[in-house]
Amino acid sequence: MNRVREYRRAKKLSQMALAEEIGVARQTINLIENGKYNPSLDLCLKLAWVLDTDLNTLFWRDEDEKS
Amino acid sequence: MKKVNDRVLRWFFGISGVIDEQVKSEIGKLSVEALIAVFIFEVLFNIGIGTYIYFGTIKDLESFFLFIMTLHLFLVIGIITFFTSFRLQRRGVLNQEVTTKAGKRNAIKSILNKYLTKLPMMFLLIWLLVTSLDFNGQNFMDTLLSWSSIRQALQPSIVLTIIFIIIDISKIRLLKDES
Repeated sequence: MNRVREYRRAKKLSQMALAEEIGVARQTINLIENGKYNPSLDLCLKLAWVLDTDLNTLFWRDEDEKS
Repeated sequence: MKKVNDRVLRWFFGISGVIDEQVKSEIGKLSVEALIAVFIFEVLFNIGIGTYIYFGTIKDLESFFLFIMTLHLFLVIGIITFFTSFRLQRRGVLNQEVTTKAGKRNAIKSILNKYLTKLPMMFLLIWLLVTSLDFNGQNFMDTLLSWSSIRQALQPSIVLTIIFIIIDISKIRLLKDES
């Protein structure tokens, strides 16, 4: 999965607020958090920028998740 | 160009919320499915009709042709509507989400504005259509300016506007904003 939900909550942002910040629909954020939609690189960069982190932290899979 | 594309998507699919890459990707997937469904339908429909004409005994070919044309039109519209409305609705793409009651009021206001500004144009189009399809042998302008033509155009314009407003308002979802 990814750590979008974790970082969003840490920043005290709602899904709607995050969606408005990066110009997408709330459903898109929900689908990304649940691993049901693979965002484009552009959107990943926007997410990382708004959540004050980098792509590796936000989307990197752990070793145990690989298996 | 992007804005024009978004406007076309918004108009054709009836999307009232944000059009982002995920929405476009859903539309893309459903459009391909719709295209395949229409292709299969066209092939089967034409084979079926061809076989029926070849083996059947049709007395009134003109009426049969008109019936088939109408049936074909309704079935194609049905298939496209199934993919563009029902399936998109089920995936939540057509919903407009708001988090506050004030937001909902604003959304309703913008829907009313949208359709009330479109009402004169819709009336004009229906008025011209009603007049063009009125084969009474009178002068076009006389028919156009007759009270019956205006009434015939005004009624569906108002009814359709009300229906569109109700449909769009029903798509607004008030969400609990979790922080």
